[in-house]
Amino acid sequence: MNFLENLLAGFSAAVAGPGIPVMIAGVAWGTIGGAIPGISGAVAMSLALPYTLSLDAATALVMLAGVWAGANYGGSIPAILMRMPGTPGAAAALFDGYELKRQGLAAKALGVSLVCGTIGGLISVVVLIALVVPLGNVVLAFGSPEVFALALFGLTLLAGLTERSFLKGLASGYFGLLLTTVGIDTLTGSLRFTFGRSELLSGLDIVSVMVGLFAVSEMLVQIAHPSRREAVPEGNAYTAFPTLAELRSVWRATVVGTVVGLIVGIMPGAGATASSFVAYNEARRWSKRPDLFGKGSMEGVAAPETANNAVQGGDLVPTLALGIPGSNSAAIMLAALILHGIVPGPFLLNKHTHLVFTLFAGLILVNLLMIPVGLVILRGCLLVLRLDRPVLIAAILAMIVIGTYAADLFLLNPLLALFFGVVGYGMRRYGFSPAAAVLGLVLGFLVESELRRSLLISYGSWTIFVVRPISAVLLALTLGAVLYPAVMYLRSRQHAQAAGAGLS
Amino acid sequence: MKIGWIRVIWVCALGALLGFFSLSRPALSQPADYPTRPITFVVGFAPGGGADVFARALADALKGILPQPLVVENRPGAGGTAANAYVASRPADGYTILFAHAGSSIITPLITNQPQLKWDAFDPLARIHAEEEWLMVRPDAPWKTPEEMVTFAKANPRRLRVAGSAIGGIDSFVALSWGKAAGIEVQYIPHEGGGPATLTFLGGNAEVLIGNVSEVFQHIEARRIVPFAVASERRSSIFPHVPTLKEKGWDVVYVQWRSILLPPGVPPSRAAVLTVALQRALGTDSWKRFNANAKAIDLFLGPADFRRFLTEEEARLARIIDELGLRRR
Amino acid sequence: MNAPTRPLRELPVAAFLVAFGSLVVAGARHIPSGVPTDPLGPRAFPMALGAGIACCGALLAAATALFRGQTARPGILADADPDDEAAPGPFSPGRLIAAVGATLGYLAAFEPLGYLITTPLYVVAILLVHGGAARRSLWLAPLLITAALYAVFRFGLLIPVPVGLLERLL
Repeated sequence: MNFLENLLAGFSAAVAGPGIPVMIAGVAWGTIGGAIPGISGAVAMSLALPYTLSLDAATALVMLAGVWAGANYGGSIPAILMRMPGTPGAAAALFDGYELKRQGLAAKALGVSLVCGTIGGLISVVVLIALVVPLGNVVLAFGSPEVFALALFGLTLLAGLTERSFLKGLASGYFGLLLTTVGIDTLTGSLRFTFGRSELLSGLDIVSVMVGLFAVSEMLVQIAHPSRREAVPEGNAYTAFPTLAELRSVWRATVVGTVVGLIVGIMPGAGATASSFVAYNEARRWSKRPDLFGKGSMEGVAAPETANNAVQGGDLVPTLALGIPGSNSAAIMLAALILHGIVPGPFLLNKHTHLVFTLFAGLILVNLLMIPVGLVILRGCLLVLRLDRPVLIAAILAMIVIGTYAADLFLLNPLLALFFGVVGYGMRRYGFSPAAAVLGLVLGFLVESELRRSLLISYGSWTIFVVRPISAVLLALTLGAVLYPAVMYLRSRQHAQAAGAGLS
Repeated sequence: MKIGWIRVIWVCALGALLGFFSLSRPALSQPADYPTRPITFVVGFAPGGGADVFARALADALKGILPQPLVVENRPGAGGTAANAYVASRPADGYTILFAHAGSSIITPLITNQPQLKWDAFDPLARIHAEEEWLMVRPDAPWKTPEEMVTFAKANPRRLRVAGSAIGGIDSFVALSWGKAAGIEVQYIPHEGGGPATLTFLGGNAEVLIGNVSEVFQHIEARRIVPFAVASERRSSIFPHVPTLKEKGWDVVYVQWRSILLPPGVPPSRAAVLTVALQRALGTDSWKRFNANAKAIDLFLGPADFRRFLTEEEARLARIIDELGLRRR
Repeated sequence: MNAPTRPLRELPVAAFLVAFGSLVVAGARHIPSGVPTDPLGPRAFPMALGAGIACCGALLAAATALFRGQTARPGILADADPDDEAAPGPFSPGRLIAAVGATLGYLAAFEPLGYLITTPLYVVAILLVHGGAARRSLWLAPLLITAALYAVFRFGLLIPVPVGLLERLL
């Protein structure tokens, strides 16, 4: 049993036969699927699942890994180009990505997203390969209280998204949190805010609501406010690959994104979406130019995109070490195994060493293939910017309808997108923050259900959050993140007052 | 002259097209020829889930038995009942069949008070197989038998946490009925699915795990999880040494069965074709292998028996749903 | 850079928040309690959020009244600056309603009439509502968009796109 030999054997198995073309197809498929609103990574993978049945188990896994990696990247393409998150994980990248597009830097932003995402994906896979067995036990240290504390920490981003009007931003965040309560309550079985409609039992589809709040509202603004139809600056469509200097300027964000993605990925329940929001917030905290965030910061694109690709390795830790999927996407990898007659579980690593190492090799290869495949698709997508604006708007709206419909074959989802498009339009018109609402929407489910589950575990005692070290640390960080800006604000006012008094 | 030729060509082309369509249209009136085109197997859950994997394995087993393939179509949503609503609107020609389990065909329609989506709005075709419900503990648990556990729980209140899937699922019914039957306080901790429940349990945040063994079988082999009771009618062939709750005197019997329903009014001759094919599919190697891996047991029932079973099952489930106060007012 | 607050504009917004929050609280009180498992129960979270939204509304009203006529304090009550999102600029409510109405009509006809019939009509409708489309686009764009999306979803993703009326023909 030699680690390197296994890995080399994995590489040769991964590239053997149809390996490379299948990986390219997987990555391309994932990137395109991820770029379509409504088709998230897990949906893109599940649509590819039937195709993989005719392949052997290892090739099938590698192809699905490719779809997964591609979808993580693909989601950012429409987020940056059209203010439309293709996957929930890409929502955090649009805050700055769409601003960059307005400044004529769309291609650059997409290039940064691609390269940083690849870096994040590669590092996380290497960590996975090196540490899968020890990390398997770390997973078990993350219970409900820890995930709750993490979600609360993520919510501190609210303060960053609501600089214009804190009260309205807070109300927007509450609104987003409220949206996650629709449907059957897992913990008690009660129906909440379903208005007697069985379609609402499983809750609101997050992607449809997001696409409504961000993209449909933007289309409505452009249709109803002719003055907002600013000219698209030249240069959007050309240079894509970031230069070394540009990469150096986002290295902090990339490191932050990778670390956040790895940690959040290992946590059960919290996935790519939560990681990208936390990474965005952290990257701003560590950045040298935090003032640029929200106004077109490359770091604001690099951090969430790195994080949501770095989640892949973390997600696979419980999947491979314990046989328990860390996310919906990982669950589809397991389903593929079962359909190929392989029982996943803690022995997977020992019983099917060759298969697992082929998967490892495949993960490295698909992340490398992301760059050429991504660049080709990116060039194609940039052509969209040359369309006439009315044609582009009509095409986006039609794509939103069919895309949200396609995920579940459910007319409710495009209706939701339209409804929340109108809501998002109203929110923007009256100074509320759709971004804060989306943050609440993404984290609300974790906040509520993990809080209540923690209290079940502790028989109602709130001390559970402070006696467990990881959750205590996370809660302390949350408290610090809330208090630090407030203290700084008061201090700066005192200074200003003192200065004012001195002047007079 | 020229215009005339073009017209003739157009008429011929149109005629050929119409003829092609009328020929390719399926002949509905001849059940002997059923099936002449692929049958759509509608599953109300997303690809990759237990229901979907089951459906694809069954479709695979039916290959070569039916002259036409079974095509799985996923219509997830509304706890599986979105698919019920869709299938109810499809023609009853035997080309659309519906996946059903207790959750999608009894529990959710009862809780939400939608009789038009319940199993009796359809024609039962066949119950196929079931996964059993197991109670599992960690090997270092201070008890070795269900009785010891009950004694412990009575002596130490607030020390028995049970992790399982969401309230309203079979897991929660087993846990809560057992707690009631044994007269102990069970702290049931619901999760979004079996995987998260297992993580809570393995992380030491619950004493008992409840659910299927398919997801945790390797943990059982590794002696990290020990099954110690099963909620079946009789002992399971998977772990024959594990007692049933029933033999210990608690009448708690639930399995997670999976089945197929038809839109109401499918001709009996066509239902018969499907029933015979399904019965044969269960004998194939590919199905047996799948069933063994899924740690499931075959529980085939034909249309008439299945209908009787569903009637009883609904009465039983309705009783516990009302006891728990889950039904919508 | 901060525009003065406009109480006349803020007060209805604050009132709306209070009303919406109260409505949520009232709705949450009627959530059935279900199986009593956890100490917080299914009502606590939505009630707290509803109350939070209502509080935001009340504070907004108070702040608006308090700082009337002053420039807004950044971070607490900053109204939208003129060139940001909330600025209406020249606004045509007709277009907004037409766009939303066209989408609603599209969704209503989507399944009964089918994707291939409704999509070109919808694209034309949006082009007309938006205005300013080149004449060539008016017939070319609907066909190309419909065909491109159909190819991707029907043949690429194998989605059973609604066939609608065309089912009888095919």
